[in-house]
Amino acid sequence: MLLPPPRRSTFLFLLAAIAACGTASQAWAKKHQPVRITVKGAEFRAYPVAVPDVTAYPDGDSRAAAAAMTDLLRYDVDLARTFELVPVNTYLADNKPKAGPPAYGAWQATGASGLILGEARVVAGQMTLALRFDDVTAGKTLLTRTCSAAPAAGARCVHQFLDAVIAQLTGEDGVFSSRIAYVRRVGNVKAIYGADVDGGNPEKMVQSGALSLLPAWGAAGRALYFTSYIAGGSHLYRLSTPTGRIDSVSARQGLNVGAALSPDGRRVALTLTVDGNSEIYVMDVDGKNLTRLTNNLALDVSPTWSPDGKRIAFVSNRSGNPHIYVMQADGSNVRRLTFRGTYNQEPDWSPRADGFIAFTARDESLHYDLFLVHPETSEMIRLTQDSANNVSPSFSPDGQSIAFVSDRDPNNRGQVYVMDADGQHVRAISPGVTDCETPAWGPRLGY
Amino acid sequence: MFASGNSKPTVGRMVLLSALLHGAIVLGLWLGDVFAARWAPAPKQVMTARLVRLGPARKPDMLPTLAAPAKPNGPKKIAPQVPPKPPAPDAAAAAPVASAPSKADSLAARAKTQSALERLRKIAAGAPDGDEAGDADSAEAGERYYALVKQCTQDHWVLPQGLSPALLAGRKGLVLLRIDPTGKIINYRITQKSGLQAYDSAMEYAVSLCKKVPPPPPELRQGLRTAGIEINFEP
Repeated sequence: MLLPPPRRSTFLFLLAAIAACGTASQAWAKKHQPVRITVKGAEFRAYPVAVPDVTAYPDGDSRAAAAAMTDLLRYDVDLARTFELVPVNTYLADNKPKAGPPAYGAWQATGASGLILGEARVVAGQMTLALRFDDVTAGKTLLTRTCSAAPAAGARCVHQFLDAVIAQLTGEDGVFSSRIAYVRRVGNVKAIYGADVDGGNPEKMVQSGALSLLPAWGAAGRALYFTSYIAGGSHLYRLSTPTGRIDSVSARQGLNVGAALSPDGRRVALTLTVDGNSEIYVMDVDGKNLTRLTNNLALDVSPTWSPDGKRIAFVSNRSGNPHIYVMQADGSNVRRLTFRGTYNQEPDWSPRADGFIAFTARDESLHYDLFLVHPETSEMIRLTQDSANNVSPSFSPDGQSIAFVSDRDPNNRGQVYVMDADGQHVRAISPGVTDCETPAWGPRLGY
Repeated sequence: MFASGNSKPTVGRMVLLSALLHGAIVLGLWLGDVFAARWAPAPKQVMTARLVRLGPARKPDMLPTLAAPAKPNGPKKIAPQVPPKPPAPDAAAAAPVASAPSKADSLAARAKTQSALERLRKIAAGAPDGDEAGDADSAEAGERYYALVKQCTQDHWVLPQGLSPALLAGRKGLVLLRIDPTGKIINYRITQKSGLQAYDSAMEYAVSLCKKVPPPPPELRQGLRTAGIEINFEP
């Protein structure tokens, strides 16, 4: 039996009821929406990370490997500017590794925000290292990595893991895959060496027995430019880091020194005296298409590129004393940058877009120290003081750290040090490796 | 009571006993001094306070020096909020009407009363615990309460150093938290992630450390327990 069609009044009543319900529900939803407040102005601090002992299988080789990896993890966490190592003596007894999830509450009580756990096992000379990074606040694992390598090569596993953790936390890769090249005098010969950023895996990079100076990394770290007297004169060479092959890049008359690669890796700025005076030139990486940028009776040396490749900072004594100058990459618009001090040199431009230029300056006590100068405002900041001589700054690829040479340790003069870009947390990367000069912090090499 | 033969030397014995006791006390004090000096920890090196004489001013063309490191700040403390005093009762409202006026008089009196009330409201605007820079006559209890919650999380809003300004520009995240009538944070969750793990962890960290705020005012309790507060975290 069919129902009779609804009356018009009924239909209108239903419409009104639906509209009323909709309005009421909207009003209810609005009334019960959470209140929103804004919190801004965060404080920036190092991310505290706890690193308990890496566990080991119960055999001698595994235990030794675990101990070595524990030491390396703690050293590198302490080295990384993003992290702060939670002191080991604050770890509570029940934080020792055991089966089951970590006691996040207890770790949080030590002040840790992150936790690194590891397990090492050595079988037939091969180490398997399992590492894990936990967010203590959230109480969950964020990252796990397992690496297999000889125990002596375990550093690569640790570096790769830490770079991944830093990338996860900050959105930017860590710099543990990069290397620092430096000149070291051994006996009567100065040669170019390289080491990890924590000083590990040191090696002689340029095998030539000739005097080699002023290393400068090429793009992606596959080439290292340096000045050497291989052929008797001060010429510019390029070392292919994968193959070890050395090629001549510039053998022009006079000096060919102080190479600096452009950010895009296509051009080299350097100092030549081919025209009778020290001037800044730019050429292609193969040495062709030479362009002179400066034309001044003064000495113009030590070029360094801005991160966008549009400007070059350099040293000139055209005002009477060596000071830092800036010019466009075509040599135009030369502008003096430093007006304080009497002997400013060795500029290195930070790779960060908002970064400063680091340089060496001699102060009134005739000691050399490191400074920063803003490329626009000439604002100057001092980084070192009252620590003997500190020279030759070189920024890390993320611009957060600076490598330099110091003789602050009277028993180990000329060691390579690394510090935060604000001058804090100074530490020697290779304690006992002395008589070093002009460190050059290379790009990330990846894994 | 005492045997007559034993009374004579009693005073002498008392004097002797007193002397011995006093002597023992003095000896004990002296020995205590000696041993305390022997076993007391070595005194700390005395600090010499020196006032450096005023030297020549540093020339403007000389290199800058490192400033003395600032003393570390102590832990941040949230200033206790003094509950606002209840407003003074309207004096005009308490004034009794003397007699029953006529209708015209009543209207005039009412108008006069209302204008007096209006003047009193203007005088009472602001609050004894207000701010010199404040531009509001009053703040609702809810606004004050939300400020407390904001302050609690603000104190723990910490990001890892090294995050570049380009990475932080425009970044934000939302955390929803619910508060029970005692001020305890019942639960919280991220309702909008920032896209950066460290940022999300820092938001949770800030809220997790703010375990409890003062009990909310009665009119807010239901809403805070059900709908909650959403905190927008910006760098």
